[in-house]
Amino acid sequence: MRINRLLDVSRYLAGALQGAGWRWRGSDGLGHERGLSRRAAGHAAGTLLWLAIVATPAYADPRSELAQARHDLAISEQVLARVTERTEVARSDAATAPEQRQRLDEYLTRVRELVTFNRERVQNLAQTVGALPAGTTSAGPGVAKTPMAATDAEEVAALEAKLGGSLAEFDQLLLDEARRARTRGAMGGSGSPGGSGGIAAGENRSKESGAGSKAPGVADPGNGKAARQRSAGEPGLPGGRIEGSDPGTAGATAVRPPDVGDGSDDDVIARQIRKAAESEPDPELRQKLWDEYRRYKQGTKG
Amino acid sequence: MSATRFEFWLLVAALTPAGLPGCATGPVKQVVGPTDAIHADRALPEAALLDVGIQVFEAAAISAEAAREQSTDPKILEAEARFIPFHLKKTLQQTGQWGAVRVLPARAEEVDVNVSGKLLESSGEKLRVEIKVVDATGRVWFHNEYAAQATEKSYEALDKKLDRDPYQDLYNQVANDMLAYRQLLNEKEIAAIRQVALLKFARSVVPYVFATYLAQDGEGMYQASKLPADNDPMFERVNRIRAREHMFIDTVNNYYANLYDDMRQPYGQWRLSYLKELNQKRELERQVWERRVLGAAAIVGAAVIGSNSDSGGSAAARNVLIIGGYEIIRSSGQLASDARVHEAALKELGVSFKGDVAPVLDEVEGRTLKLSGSVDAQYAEWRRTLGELFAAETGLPPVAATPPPGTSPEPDKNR
Repeated sequence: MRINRLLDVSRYLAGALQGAGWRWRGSDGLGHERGLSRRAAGHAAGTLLWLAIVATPAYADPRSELAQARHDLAISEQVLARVTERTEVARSDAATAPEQRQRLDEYLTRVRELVTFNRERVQNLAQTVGALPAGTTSAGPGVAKTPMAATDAEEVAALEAKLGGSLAEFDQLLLDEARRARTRGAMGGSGSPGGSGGIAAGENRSKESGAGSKAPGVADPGNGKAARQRSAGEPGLPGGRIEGSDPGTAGATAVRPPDVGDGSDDDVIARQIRKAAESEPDPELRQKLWDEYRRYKQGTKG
Repeated sequence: MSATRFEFWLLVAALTPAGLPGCATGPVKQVVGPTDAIHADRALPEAALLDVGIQVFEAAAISAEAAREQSTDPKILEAEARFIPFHLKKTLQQTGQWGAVRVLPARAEEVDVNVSGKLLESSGEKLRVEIKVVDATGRVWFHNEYAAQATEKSYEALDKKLDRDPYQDLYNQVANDMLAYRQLLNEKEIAAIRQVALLKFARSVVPYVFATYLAQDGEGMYQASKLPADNDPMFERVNRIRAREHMFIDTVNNYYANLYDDMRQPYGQWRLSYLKELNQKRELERQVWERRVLGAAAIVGAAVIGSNSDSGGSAAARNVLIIGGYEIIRSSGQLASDARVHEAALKELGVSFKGDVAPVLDEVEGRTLKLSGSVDAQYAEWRRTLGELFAAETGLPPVAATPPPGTSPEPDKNR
């Protein structure tokens, strides 16, 4: 994707600057010195030039151009912040040669110019877009763009991933709560003297699981729609969502759908959803979690 | 008017006092006799299923003192307001006539069929509830008051640990009334109810997108004015959130299940003991009344004999009647004292049961409140993200457009 390419560029630019050399003290406290080579400086300048070129493509649609300009401005501001920070570090280092300082200052000036240029570009384009007829304006005031998003499509993808992550977190919260409730239910209750409530609990729950139907041929009278979902994936399983067994010990890999892979390329959020799905004994909830997992993985691939 | 529609309005007339859906002239009262629930004889197709949400019942307002007089307690009423809907949920589930049946915490409303109830009277002897059933379009199915009596025989199921309430007939009657109404709806009407419920939820989450998808007619009935495309990404997101809403309600239902399970045996025992004590008290009071009447009659008889005859035999008979009458009246005093003991026992039973149920109820309510708070926070975050998505996809700010005339202007308040 384009944003990744530009980020690579900025990272490369920063690396080039680091290589362009001044005395850099690493976190291990051991310093190593690199001379400011003309080759590296040229590299950085070339990259900067490339960045400036890609920052000003021709767009037919002012809104797209504005979005791109905003994105370029964000990147150039990040580069400026990083270069400024490193320049200050170099300045404070007595070992930095005057020539090196001068070149860094020059470089910093050029990045500042680029930022100024991008700001003006954004302002001009914003005015242009603002003059467009109503209904064709870009996102209204107060609508914050997702950081680092380049185009609307990328922003949508980022927001989708954010929503998916939030939903997955919520699933986890509910699963924890459901487990707590089930564990408590399986243990009986504090309010059932002599444990009679506990016995009743087990009995009622198994009945709620769908066996309570007096109608022949009704697979799960409890939750009709849900019953169908459950019976598809779990033939023979009682339908209710309260089974009384320890959810953590439910067969995990046995119920893993074949299309979800082994999860070796999962990121943190995907791992969470996957783990929750694998440990969920309730077929209905498990199915929802796997669906969420697929959606999330699909989103991250885009 | 077709035969089906005619039957429909006949039923409406039977189920609602003035024969008009939605009229607010109060519930129709009915005393429930032995009733079996009508079960589905086959699995219903998905399209025919309606989800049911049963609100936690409203308990009749009662002071602590008045509650004590009735041998109950506001805390017990609060627990019953959750127990009774949960048993109704189980009854409906067991009929196999419905989709998902859930007991709803206060904040959830957008379901196909919404059942709300009021607990008017509850004891070991009598249960009286007011039930109102409304579908998502706003059509009132019925608004009835049900009353049922229990006998000691009704509690036999409790000893056998059967999944049957002493007032099962009442629950069965409610289930049958709901079924009777639903059976008069055609496929199109059922589909419309489901669509409106879904759109109401969508509108509550993303009002600036879905407010115009719903319209209200002159009587305030909702209908879908348009439908989202199958591949509408915003609608797909709303569906994902709705699945979480259902998961949230299911989690709360797990709490209610715990309350129900913990409460069922002691509640049954309390109601049975109440009924036994009440019967004994009444029997004693009846005997007291009979003895007092008998004693008074004997004394009056002695006076009559004394005034009509001076013979020795009459005098003896008069004395016997006076002494006997006095003894009968005196013994009734002892019985009255025994009756007061039973009355005190009834009150003690209430206190004891409250001690059993109050900690469980407090735990359930605490957890429900805490989880509801988390859900509210999540909804706020999701709404924000959906607003950003809307802006990114359309270039428009996430502000509700002014709905055209005839569409529903107000998003639901709870989310």
